Amino acid sequence: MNYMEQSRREQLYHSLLDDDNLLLWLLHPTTDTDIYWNQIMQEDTEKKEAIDELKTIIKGMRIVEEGLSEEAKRAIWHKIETTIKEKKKSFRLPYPLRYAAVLFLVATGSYYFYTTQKHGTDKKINYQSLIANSAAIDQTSGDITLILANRKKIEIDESNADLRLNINGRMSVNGKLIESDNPAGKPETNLLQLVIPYGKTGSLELGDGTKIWLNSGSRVIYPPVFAGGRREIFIDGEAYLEVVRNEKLPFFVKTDMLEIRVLGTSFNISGYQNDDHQSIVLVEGSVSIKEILEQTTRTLKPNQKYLLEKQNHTTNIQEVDIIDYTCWKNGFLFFKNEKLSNVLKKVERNYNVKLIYDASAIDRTAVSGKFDLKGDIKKTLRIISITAPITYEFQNEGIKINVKP
Amino acid sequence: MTENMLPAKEAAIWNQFRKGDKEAFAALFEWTSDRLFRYGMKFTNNKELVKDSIQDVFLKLYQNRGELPEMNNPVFYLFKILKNTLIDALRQKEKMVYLSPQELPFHVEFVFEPEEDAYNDDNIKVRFEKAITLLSNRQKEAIYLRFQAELSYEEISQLLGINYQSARNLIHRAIEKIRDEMDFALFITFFLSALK
Repeated sequence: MNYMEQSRREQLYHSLLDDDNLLLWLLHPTTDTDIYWNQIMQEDTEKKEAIDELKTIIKGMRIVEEGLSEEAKRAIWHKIETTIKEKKKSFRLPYPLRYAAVLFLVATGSYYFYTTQKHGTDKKINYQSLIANSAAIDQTSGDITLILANRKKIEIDESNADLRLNINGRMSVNGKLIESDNPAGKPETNLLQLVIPYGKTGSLELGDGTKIWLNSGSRVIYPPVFAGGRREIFIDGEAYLEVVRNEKLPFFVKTDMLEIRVLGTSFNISGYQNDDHQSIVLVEGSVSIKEILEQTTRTLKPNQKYLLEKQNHTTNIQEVDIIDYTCWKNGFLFFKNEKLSNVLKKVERNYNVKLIYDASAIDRTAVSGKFDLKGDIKKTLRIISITAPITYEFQNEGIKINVKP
Repeated sequence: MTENMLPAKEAAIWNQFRKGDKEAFAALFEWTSDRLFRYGMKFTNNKELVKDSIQDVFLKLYQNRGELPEMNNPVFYLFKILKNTLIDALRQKEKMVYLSPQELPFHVEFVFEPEEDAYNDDNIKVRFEKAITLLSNRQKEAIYLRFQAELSYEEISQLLGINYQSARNLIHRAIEKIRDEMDFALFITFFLSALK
């Protein structure tokens, strides 16, 4: 490269670095700007090389730093308030504000600073006690239920609920706006719960645009708006998530045994309390999964399944066909050599039927097949009875499943 | 920065506060104190000093609420007041006779966590970290302000007490050093030859 050539290349880098729009795209890409910049890169190979290089540097650069804890923040505010009050006795500052309003501001703007808080160790929310403290819900016969922060319950008498939150925490269900004044208080007392009983399904769109599909017999706990430099939800049951990418606000999904950290990605998570395992199947992006008890962390690539066996806390990762694990959201169940006990649990949840069987007798049996969840339970049982050696009989208290000798 | 990159929310809070809205004052604190703390901690490792300075910044704002300028990026303005407050405090408390803005340290720990697996290798991370050690404190600050705080060259130049062109040069040179040290062309050649 001669001097002239080198100088010309430097100019190119300089002009790219000066371009605010390029920086905006690199740090906050949108569909429109993706199209615009990809077009430019297609037209000009030299520019493409330079942009790729700057992209790698700028997007790869992270800062390890400690933020201001909530306690420290409150302490500083308290001092400010006291000093002002001393000067002017009558004046009283409104704090905490109606918390919802403040959280809205915190959660919706662009949060500038990335924290390399690998897996959050600060203020933990005790989801189990939250579930235990909210009124019991009959998962086998009830309606889809939304539990508000003030423990008020909203029942949704439909077989599917589509819940949406807009950025300031306003909620709509199947297109109808729900009036709910969230009480002031700490974020953890502001959490909402969506409970999907057996035989029903739901979807939830959070304020950041993240979409969650919930399978039958599931529960999700989430804040009306995200605050505190991270996004966090809790899931019991099965869900498919499309998490909107935001490097500045990592997304955490918790179950009773796992903590999953993602940036922007799609994956399926299954963690029913009454299953003997929890699993995560990654469709795109990347996730890291921490087993809470033993603190082991594994990273998952697309088309891989992470499996945690609850009994002995063993984990393993294997390649899978993702469609087998995500087709439920399109109304199908698909099994390939799946343990009959697992299949029957899914059938119970999805069709909301009671199956009566001897768990020890069916353990070694495997099932394959595709089932339409909108179809008739009889048809599904017939297909199972073809691939697995079972017979079934409708009784008053449920459907009796017998293993053929 | 460009029009749509401006934190419109912050500008709205700022203007409400200027008009005397007390809730906006609390919101401004809630919304910016963490960022101020992170920036402040780059100049000293004394947490209490930084927290005290943040307190001073907000007291100053409150006292002068009637005379504050209109701002489309109040975070920049708060960064500026905090930095000046910190320099004063450092001079007093740490008994430094004179401390010019140019001599201030900038303790920042950059790490490299590339998105693409192709670059996800220890060698390139080490080279990135080495490149960072070659940067001056002001270059680190400029990089921090540009790519983390997303400030404009104009705002960066004001925070660093230099002119626009110098701020621009700082960023250009810092990125050039990182590029030189990381040597992507060479790396890609190695990567491709390893694949064969």
